[in-house]
This record gives sequence, structure tokens and C-alpha cells, in this order.
Amino acid sequence: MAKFTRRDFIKISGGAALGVAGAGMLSHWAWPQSGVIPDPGTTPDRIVPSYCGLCFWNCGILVHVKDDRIIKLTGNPHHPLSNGKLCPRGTGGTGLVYDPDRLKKPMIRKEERSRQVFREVEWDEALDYTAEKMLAIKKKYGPEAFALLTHGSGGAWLRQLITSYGTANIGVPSYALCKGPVETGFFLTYGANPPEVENTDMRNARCITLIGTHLGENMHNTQVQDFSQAIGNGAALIVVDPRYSVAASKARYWLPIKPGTDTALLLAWMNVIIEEQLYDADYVGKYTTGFDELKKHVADKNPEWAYTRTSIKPELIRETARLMAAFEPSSFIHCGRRTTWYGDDTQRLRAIAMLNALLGAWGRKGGYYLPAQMDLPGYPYLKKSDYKPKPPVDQPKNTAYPFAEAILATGLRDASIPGSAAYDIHGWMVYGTNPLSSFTQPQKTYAALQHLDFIVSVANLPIEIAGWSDVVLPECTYLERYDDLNSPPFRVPFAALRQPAIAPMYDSKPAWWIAKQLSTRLGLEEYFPWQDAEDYLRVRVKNAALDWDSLKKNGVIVGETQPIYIEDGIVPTFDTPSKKIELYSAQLKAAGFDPMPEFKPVEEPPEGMFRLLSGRAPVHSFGMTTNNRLLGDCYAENEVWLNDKVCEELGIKDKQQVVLVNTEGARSHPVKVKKTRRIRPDCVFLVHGFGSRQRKMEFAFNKGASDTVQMNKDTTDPLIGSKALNVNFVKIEQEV
Amino acid sequence: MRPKRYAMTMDTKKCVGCSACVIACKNENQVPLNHYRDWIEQELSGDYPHLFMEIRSQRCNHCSDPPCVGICPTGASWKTKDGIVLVDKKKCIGCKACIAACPYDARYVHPQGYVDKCTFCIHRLKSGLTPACVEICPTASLVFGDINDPNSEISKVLNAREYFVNHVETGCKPNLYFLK
Amino acid sequence: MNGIEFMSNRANPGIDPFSIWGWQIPVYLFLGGLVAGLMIVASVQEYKFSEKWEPRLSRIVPLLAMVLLSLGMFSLYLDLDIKGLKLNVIRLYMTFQPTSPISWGAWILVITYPALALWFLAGISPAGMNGLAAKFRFLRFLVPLCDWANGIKGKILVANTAIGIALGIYTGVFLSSMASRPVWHSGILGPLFLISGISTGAASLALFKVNHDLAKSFIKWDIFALVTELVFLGLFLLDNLSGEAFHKAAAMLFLAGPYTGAFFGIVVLLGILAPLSLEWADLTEKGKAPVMAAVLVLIGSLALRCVIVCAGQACHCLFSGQMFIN
Ligand SMILES: Nc1nc2c(c(=O)[nH]1)N[C@H]1C(S)=C(S)[C@@H](COP(=O)(O)OP(=O)(O)OC[C@H]3O[C@@H](n4cnc5c(=O)[nH]c(N)nc54)[C@H](O)[C@@H]3O)O[C@H]1N2
Ligand SMILES: Nc1nc2c(c(=O)[nH]1)N[C@H]1C(S)=C(S)[C@@H](COP(=O)(O)OP(=O)(O)OC[C@H]3O[C@@H](n4cnc5c(=O)[nH]c(N)nc54)[C@H](O)[C@@H]3O)O[C@H]1N2
Ligand code: SF4
Ligand code: SF4
Ligand code: SF4
Ligand code: SF4
Ligand code: SF4
Ligand SMILES: [Mo]
Repeated sequence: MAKFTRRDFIKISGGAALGVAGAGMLSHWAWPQSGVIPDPGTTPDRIVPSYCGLCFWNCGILVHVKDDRIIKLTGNPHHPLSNGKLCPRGTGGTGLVYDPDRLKKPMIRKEERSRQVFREVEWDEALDYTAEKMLAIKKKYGPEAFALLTHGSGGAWLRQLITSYGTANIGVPSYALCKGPVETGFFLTYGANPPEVENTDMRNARCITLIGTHLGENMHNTQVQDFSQAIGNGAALIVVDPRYSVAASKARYWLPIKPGTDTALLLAWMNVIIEEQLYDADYVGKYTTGFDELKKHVADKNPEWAYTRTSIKPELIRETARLMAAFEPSSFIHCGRRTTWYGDDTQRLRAIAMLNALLGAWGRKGGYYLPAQMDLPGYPYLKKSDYKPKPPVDQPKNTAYPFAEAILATGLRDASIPGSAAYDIHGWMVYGTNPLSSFTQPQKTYAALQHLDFIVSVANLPIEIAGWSDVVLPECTYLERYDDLNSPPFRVPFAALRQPAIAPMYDSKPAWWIAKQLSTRLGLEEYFPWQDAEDYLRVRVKNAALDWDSLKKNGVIVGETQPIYIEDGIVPTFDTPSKKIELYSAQLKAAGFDPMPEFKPVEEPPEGMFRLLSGRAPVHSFGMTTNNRLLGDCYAENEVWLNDKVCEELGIKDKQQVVLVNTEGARSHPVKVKKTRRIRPDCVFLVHGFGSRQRKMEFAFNKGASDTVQMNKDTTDPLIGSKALNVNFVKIEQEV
Repeated sequence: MRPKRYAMTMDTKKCVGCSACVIACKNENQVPLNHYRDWIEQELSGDYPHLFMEIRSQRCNHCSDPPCVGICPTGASWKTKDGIVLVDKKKCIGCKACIAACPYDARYVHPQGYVDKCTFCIHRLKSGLTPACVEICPTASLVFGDINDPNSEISKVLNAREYFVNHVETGCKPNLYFLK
Repeated sequence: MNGIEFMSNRANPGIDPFSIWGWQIPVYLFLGGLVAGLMIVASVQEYKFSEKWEPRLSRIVPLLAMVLLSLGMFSLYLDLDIKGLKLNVIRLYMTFQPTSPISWGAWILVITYPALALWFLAGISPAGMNGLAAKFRFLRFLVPLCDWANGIKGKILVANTAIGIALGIYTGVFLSSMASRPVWHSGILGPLFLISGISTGAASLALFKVNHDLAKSFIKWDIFALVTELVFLGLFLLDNLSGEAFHKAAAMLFLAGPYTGAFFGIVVLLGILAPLSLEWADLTEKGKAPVMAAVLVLIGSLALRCVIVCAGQACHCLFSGQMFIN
């Protein structure tokens, strides 16, 4: 109860304050109880279901349109990825459609590349010119000398174009810079990798362990829904992160690990679980191979051993190991996503995969479900090229990354610097990716940009890479176009449609149209037998025996529920050489790698420097939303997180502007300090995607600092060729 | 029948502070850029490494004794029978007394010249919809409803969980309940 | 334990940081207080001590008060955040909201004008009025009014005193009714602003060239008011210090915080102690500086309102009992 003693004191003096003061005590009857009910007028006149394009998760959305203006976006309740809910980015898609800085017309570069001077042209001229340049490259060097860098749904159309043009050099940044280690680490262990929509069964879990994986900041919608549901159900949460992430704030145990030492912790956990016989013995016996070798391997890697490496106290390691084992098999270590951290990442992910196997989590309820997928045949393209393109050139001349499962986008970039690879790349088409913001080793990206004969970008905003291009083709946003069906492996099979809610604004066009137009100009029309995207989609939908009208009306068709757990009777199969879960990997051994993960110390930050870590803010997707003014309302510029004690030692105040300078001397844009207890003293943290130097991105221009600028070090995973992002060190300069 | 008393619960345990509720409100209610009807607060306490962080999604508390209504000299601020506190923008003279009187800083001056605030999305309620922020929230941290109806979801949540409200000391009887 | 690290993504203009009221409100409160002081001091003086009263003042003071009051209301009007011509302000007078101090204030202001006008008329002798009406025929309607006012002069003076007190207290209640702002939410604020208004009224009246006795009375009024103000200021701080954590913190804003200098330097020293000593010297015939004293009192009184309005806006409380200073 509130204390009103002080009020009594007041009454001695204030009580005399006439009726005026007394009036304040009058109660309800005196309040006005009528007035106009406000209505903001946002009731839509039509609702178009589609799927989101503000990240690659592809949630089902409802686009609310009034007078041909998109007024709001909500989650499609029928769509299993959104369940009627959206993350903030998806909600803020209106800020992209109505971004005043959008590309409005095709452009052709007028002066030398670095000057970024363009003239606006009509589509015909832009497309003719692009085709002419592409044909010239084909003629001069062969089609392999042309590469497509792509990310996101619209890329499918350009993939078809570029494949039929004759090159295999098609790269997405999400392998080498993102999921490579987790895909391959799990594949080497289980013969399957966690799909795009990770198959963690969080909603049924009773104990969840996160290594990094900052859910809540990493805002993949379904995953966060499941995560919070688990928290609501009282699931135990263990978070390993040098930073007190949002997820850590929900955790029973937060282990502020010394960056780069997770493998030691994972080995010690396995040590405890094996020593104390806490593993799922049935599961291990039935499905795994190499347990004895593993037991031997971790025998000396006890918590005391790990403590000296990770700085996590031995009793904490034991307690957490017992906790996760107590709930098996509804207990799992999250596989993570952006696992490109230190260069030894595939092995760390192997350790995660193996620990999950000890818990018996793969294929189990509350662990990793075994996803189902809709049977959706591809478009029946009849014409197949007889041209056998040269093998892709994404791996450097004298090195091979034998376990790479996808083409390395960074490798294609490197091959564009003459003489680096088996043959040179001379032309780029860039779609839905911004290498200047998302590729590490920016020095190499700039070198490549200087050497390329021709660059064409398809973009919807004047991003950095567009500025460096010879032709810029303005694509309409995901809310103004059709794209290919989305039907990822998930807990239920489904197929979802992206369809336009409004006509493309300005002179922007969808990727399918651009691809089709270029195909005729490149003489590849036979590879594009469909009239338009709708025609293409109808064929696919029909061939899958689905109903087009219902798909259009509901945005999604959900298939029959299928069993997804071993408990439901699925007999799991493992596509590894031994057809078992490989705790010991003979194929790694054969290729000259450690058959079981070893802890390898990472380089320490030099005196006075800090390790640079990067991650997500919930309202932004990389650099693709930093110009979105609506989302900017919730987070307009990033700040560099610096431990409060360190700030005091250095005499740095909260919100003070500083510059980050890395070991190579690369300087960041001025950025404000977030003085906080939420991070270890040996590292700093930046939200990725900020610090745009592209003037035409008027809102994002010069806001915050880019982490990429500081990522000069070239540390590569020897198994798969992915690039490490957490290996750079910065010092803090106070004079700005 | 008892009159309705609309209220909202906000689960500090599940909320991740993502701001989807803020963005959804901005779209739904045409809240101008750089203005906020709802917002996120993060409050960190404790010493490294024993930290504690509470995350709250905040908005007008639709107080049962709303000082903003009491102080309004024109009757522009008013309260519906169901307990929703509103501003009749035509009557508002922009004196800002209500802004000063609100312990939660839940009101702001709309650039078009009147005071604006959370309406509990009253325009949606009549069509049976929940407020925009409630609808969007990916973690289902927000529950809206009539706490005078013992069978409503919100009443059940309040029965089942421990909760607190902000600024009891001001005596305005807020109706935004934070679940612990 | 360390303090709290607080983060919010709200950034409403005028709210974060809180500064919805600029100079207009302190000026409005100051002028309101001044008018209240003029009304109280002059009407009490005229009513109670008519022997030393100078009738000329019965005409000048109400007129001056009306002008000052209008300036004050204009200042308030300037603060309103409405688009365009701000005609909506008429809404203030299309209703009476019994729970709203501002509504009370608006209506008090409305009755203040006729009260002052009647006082003015009562200050003109019926004969004089007849003379005026003869010269300016359109003033003829005032003749009966003037007669009437002269007839009930006593009542008019009592009414002016009462309205002055209401007005003076209102300027404080305007702020103190808000539980949301710990600095303001003190019952002392009404009496404090009233007494401060009286001091400005008395100090201003002391500027008029009047007979020695009357002049001395005004100075006595002011000394009384300033001493009382000092006591009320002390009570105001004590009141806050005796409250919950954020009320204590509110007091610390003045005792050892961003407002300490302005509060003690300008309000207390320059605005109260300095004029007090000047006036004391005046009263004891040791010196003469009525202008200086009056100017200081006016500055101090304006400063008091500025400091309180600013400090009140600078702090608001987090629910956890932490106070937040922008
Ligand atoms: N809002 C939003 N959500 C997104 C995205 C987005 O752009 N915006 N992008 C999506 C994509 S494509 C991806 S790949 C994911 C990325 O998101 P995640 O896969 O969650 O990325 P991580 O790098 O695992 O997580 C970053 C966290 O790891 C911590 N960390 C850094 N170094 C270490 C270390 O050495 N050890 C440990 N244990 N932790 C460390 C950091 O402090 C930080 O909290 O997010 C997805 N979700
Ligand atoms: N320094 C640093 N680098 C990183 C990461 C990091 O955390 N830090 N994260 C890594 C990870 S996990 C990933 S997945 C990658 C992501 O890397 P990218 O996919 O390259 O991400 P962005 O840099 O946002 O570039 C995407 C671009 O696509 C554009 N775009 C968006 N929608 C459309 C559309 O509909 N059509 C077209 N044509 N263009 C569109 C946007 O404007 C944006 O510029 O980055 C990786 N790189
Ligand atoms: S997670 Fe968010 S941004 Fe990504 S697709 Fe879903 S709603 Fe869109
Ligand atoms: S949308 Fe939900 S989870 Fe996100 S900040 Fe708002 S209340 Fe919290
Ligand atoms: S929270 Fe503020 S605006 Fe809302 S009802 Fe209470 S006092 Fe009024
Ligand atoms: S600003 Fe408008 S709503 Fe607020 S008190 Fe003044 S008139 Fe009432
Ligand atoms: S209830 Fe409606 S108006 Fe209030 S914060 Fe939520 S969305 Fe905004
Ligand atoms: Mo990623």
C-alpha cells in the first residue's frame, strides 16, 4: 500500500488551498465520460496474403491495403511460420515500400566507377546495355567469367538466367559468412544439416542451451515464438555468451565465456556427461559410432581443464552439464546459425552436434525434430543446356576446402582479383546482397571492384554496391511482386506464395521480369518458357496438385501433419559414411583433419585492444533496414558496447563518441559508446549493418559504425573455407 | 451487468524487447515518426556477472483514477465507461497539463496540434479485434481484456501469475499489469 | 550494488527529455502571482487603512493589474500547442471542469477582470464620472455603474482580496496538483506562490510615489512576505525531504544538484535576502533603495517559478523508486 503520511503533512498547509485543491480529490462522477471515439482510419479495404522479405525466414504476412496504399502488415494466422505474429522488421515493411530513397529508374554509370555518377535511363537501354556487356564477357573469357552473387527469394529467377548463360559461379553469402560451419558440422555428424528454418523443437524443450545464438535479438519469428513459449513453460535455459544478451537475461545460467573458447567448454561438458554416465545410453548405443574414442578423447578434458581456458568455474560447468542431462532427451544445445566466428568453426559445430547426440536430442521431442517438406516439383524446364560450364572458381588456386557444401561467395569475390584463382572472374551480377557491408576482408572487395569489367546490380535501394555498379536495375520490393514458392522443411509441410499487394511503384520491376527480359536479349529465351511469374507459379502449383485459387486467397497451403519424432515411430537415417551419427569421423581423419574436435586457442587481443564481436538488433536485418525510417524510430544507429569498468579506466563516458581502429589501422566511423555491465572487459560489440557511407541512403548515411570495415583479417575454416568474423581486434580512440 | 474494465498484462518474463509492438502501433494508429504511443524499457541491475534485466513494453496505463483526465480543463481528455482513457482531439487546446500530470509520460503532442496517446486501439475493439500491439507480439507477452469478467483470458492470467504495477505511489490506479 | 542501467527507445519530443513547458509558463505564473499580490496588498491597504490611502492608486493598480493579467494570459496562450490560429482556446470557456485547476484558474481569471474593473470604477468619484461622461458621451453608461461601485466599495475590496488569494494560490496549485512530478507535488507550493506573489505586489507598490506612511506600509508588507516566503521555502524542502525516495531526490535537486546555484544564488540570496536587507535599511531609515529592492524581488520571484517549473520537469520517477534526471 502506498503511504500517505507525507500527504497528511501537506494538508496542514495545502489543505487550505481552497476548493481548487479540493477539486483534485473529486472522484469519477466529475470526469467527462463522453467524447469522440478516435479512429485512425487504418481499416483496410483489402488484405493480400503473401510472405515476408525482410529477412530470409519468409514468414506469412497479411498485407493491409487501403486506397492502394499499404498501411500495415500483420502475421498470417494460417501460416505456420508466423502464426499470426511478426517480428518488428516484418511489421515495419511499410517503411521500405515508402522509403523516399528507393531506386526509381534504371541507371547507367557516367564516369569512372569510384565516382558513382549515373544517368537515369529507360529499361530498354539499361537491359540492352547489360546484355551487350554480358555477351562481351562471354565472348572474351567464356561464360564462367561471369558470377552471380545473390541472396533472397528473387534470386531464383536470376539463377535460372545465369545458369543458362553458362556459369556455375553462383554464390550466396549465407554459407561462407553465415551457416557454413553449422551446416557442415552437423552434416559430418548426422548426415543432415539443420535446415534454413532450424529444426530445433524449442517449444517442447525442457532445457535449452545457447552458444551465442542471441535469440530475442536474432529475431527469426517462429524461433523466438518457440523460445518464449519454452520460457513461459518454465524450461531451463543455459546461455553461453561473452555478452549479457537478451537471451542471457532469461537464463538460469549465464556463462560469460572468454570469446573463442567454446570448444573447450563443449568438450568439458561431454567429459562430465560421459564420466558421470549422464548420456542417453540407449540412443548412443543404437545410433552413434565412435563413442569409445570420444570417451577417451574427452577423458582428460575435465571442467578444471576447461576453466583455465574458458574462465567458467568448474562447478558451474558440472552443474550445467547435469542440468542439461537431467532433461534429456528434451534438452538440446542450439545449433546456432551465424557460426562463422574463429576459423575453427566446423569443428566447434561438430562438438555441438556430438553433445546433442549424447543427450539423444536429434530426432526427439524437445530436441531436434525431423522436418517434413511438401512435395513440390520444380518448374518443368524442358530445355537443358548442353554446355558444361567449368567448375566454379570459388576456391583459391592451391588450397581446397574439401568439405565445403556450397559455393563460397567470398571465394568468387577473391577470384575477381586477377591471378588469385584457377581463372579470373570479370563480371558480376549482384542481387539482394551488399558485399561492401556483408563480406569480410573489405580490402579484397574493393580490389575486386576495381578490376571487374562489368557490374550490374539489382537492388531496391541505392546501397553501396549499387554505387559501384555500371548498371543499376531498380527492383520493386517484395510487397509489389511475385516470387517463387516457399516451401522449406519444417515441422509441417507447407507451400507459401508471394504475390504483389500493390503495383510496383516508380519505374521498378520484379526480378522475374528482369530475368525474362534479359533472357531474350541474351538469346536464352528457350530457357524461359513461361509468360510471366503467375504463369510459372500456376504450372508449379498445378503439378503439385495444389489449388491455385486457395493458395492465392490464403497465401499458404499447409499439408498433412507428419510424424517428426523418433517417438512417433520414425526410424532415423543418417547420411554419413557409416550411416550412423559419427562421434568419431573417419572421413575427417582420412582428409587429414581431427576426427574429433580439439580445442585450439585463439589469438589473444594485443595489449589495449578488444575483440570485436557483432550481432543483431531486433529491429534490423543486417544493412538492409538501416534506411527504414519506421524501424529507425526504434533503433536509428548502433553503439559500441564497452564494459563499464573499462570505460572508467579509459575515462570514457556513456554515449561519448569514439572511433574504433583495428590492428591493420582501419578506422571506423565515429560511434557512440554504450557503457555497460552487459559485456566482458575483453571484447566490444557492435550491431551489424550500420555506418553506411552511401550518401543516397539519406537516413542511414553516416549513422553509427560498420563492423565490416574492421574485419580485415583473413581467417578461413580449413574444412569448408568459411570466413571468421570474430577475429579482429580494435582499440578505442577518443579524439574524434 | 458490471461495466467492463479494460486492462492489459505484459509478461516481463517472456518479452524480448523486440519492439514489434511499437512498430505495429505506429502503423495501426498512424503515429508520426519520432513519436511513440508505446515503447520498450530495459532495466538492468546487479553486478557483473550476477545481472538481472527486466524488459517492459510500456504504454498508457488507462488509470482508474486518471490524473490526466482530472486535470484537463476542456474535457478533451475523457474516460469511457469501459475504462479507456481517450483524447478528443477537437476539444484539445494543447495546454499539456495532462502530459505533465501523467506519471508515466504516456502522452505526447501530436505534430498536428493536439495531445495523443494509446487508445487501447478502441477502434478495433468493436470489430472484435485485439489491440495492434497485442496482435503482433511474437512472444505473446501482451494480453488485453476485461478484468471485471472473471472468465476473460486476462483475469485468468492475473489469477495465475504474480504481478506489479508502476507508480502506485501516485494513487492513479494503473491498469497495465506487469507479470513477474 | 551498482545503480540501474536504464534503456528506453521512446523519444517523444518534449517528453524525452521532459521539457513540455518553456518560459511561457513561469512567466504566466509570475504575472498571475504579481497581479494577485497587487490585488491583495492594495485592496487590504485601501480597505483597512483608508486614512493613509492614496485614491489615485485605486485607479492605477486595477488598470495595471488588468494589463499584467492580459500579458500573463497571452503568455499562456503562446504556450498552447495547437495548430494555426489557436482559436481552439475558446474551449477553455465552453466548459467548467471541476477537477481541473486550470479550468478553475481560467474562470478565476475571468472573474478577476470585472472585479478589477469595479475597483477601478469605485476609484472614480461619481462627480468625476459625470464630468467624464459629459465629455465622452459614449461613457454615459458607466455613470450608474460607477455610482453603484462607489456604494459597495467595501465589498469590492473584500472581493478583490479574496480573488487575489485564490489567484495566488492557483498559480501554485497549477503545479502542485500533479502527483507525477515529485518536485511540484507539494501542498506548500500554493501558499508559497501566493506569498511570493504578495511580495512582488508589495515591492511593486513600493515603487509608487506615495505618502511616507503608505510607502512604509508597503515595505512592511514586503518584509512580512519575504520572511514568510523564506519559511515556506524551508517547509517546501522539508516537505520533500520527509517524503519517499524520489521526493528526497527532488529536494536534493535544490540542496545539492543542478538547481542549487539558481535556487540559493538567485531565488534566496538575490531575490529574498538582498531585498530584505535593503528594505530593512529603508524601514529603519538607514538607507533608501526601493527601486533596487523591487527589481530584486521581481527577479527572485520570476526565478523561483523558473527554477520550480524546470526542476519539476527535469525529474520524473521510475517505478522502482529511482528518480530520473534528464
Ligand atoms: N533482428 C535480426 N535477426 C536476425 C537477423 C538480422 O539481421 N536481424 N539475421 C538472421 C541471420 S541470417 C542470422 S545468421 C542470425 C545471426 O544470429 P545468431 O546465429 O544468433 O548469431 P551469433 O553470432 O551466434 O550470435 C551473436 C551472439 O554471439 C555472441 N558471441 C560472440 N562471440 C562469442 C563466442 O566466442 N562465444 C560465444 N558463446 N558467444 C559469442 C555475441 O555476444 C552475440 O550475443 O540472425 C538471424 N536473425
Ligand atoms: N560484418 C558482418 N558481416 C556479416 C554479418 C555480420 O554479422 N557482420 N553477418 C553475415 C550473415 S549471418 C549473413 S546471412 C550475411 C547477409 O548478407 P547480405 O545478404 O549481403 O545482407 P545485406 O548486407 O543486408 O544485403 C542485402 C541487400 O539486399 C537488398 N535487398 C533487400 N531486399 C531486396 C529485394 O527485394 N530485392 C533486391 N534486389 N534487393 C534487396 C538490401 O537493400 C540489402 O542491401 O552477412 C554476413 N556478413
Ligand atoms: S522473421 Fe521477421 S523479417 Fe524475417 S521473414 Fe519473419 S517477419 Fe519477416
Ligand atoms: S512485441 Fe512483444 S516481445 Fe516484442 S517488445 Fe513488444 S511485448 Fe515485448
Ligand atoms: S497513464 Fe497517463 S495518460 Fe494514461 S490514463 Fe494514466 S495518467 Fe492518463
Ligand atoms: S493538452 Fe488537451 S487533453 Fe491535455 S489537458 Fe490540455 S486540453 Fe486537455
Ligand atoms: S493498444 Fe493500440 S494504441 Fe495502445 S499501444 Fe497498443 S497498439 Fe498502440
Ligand atoms: Mo546469416
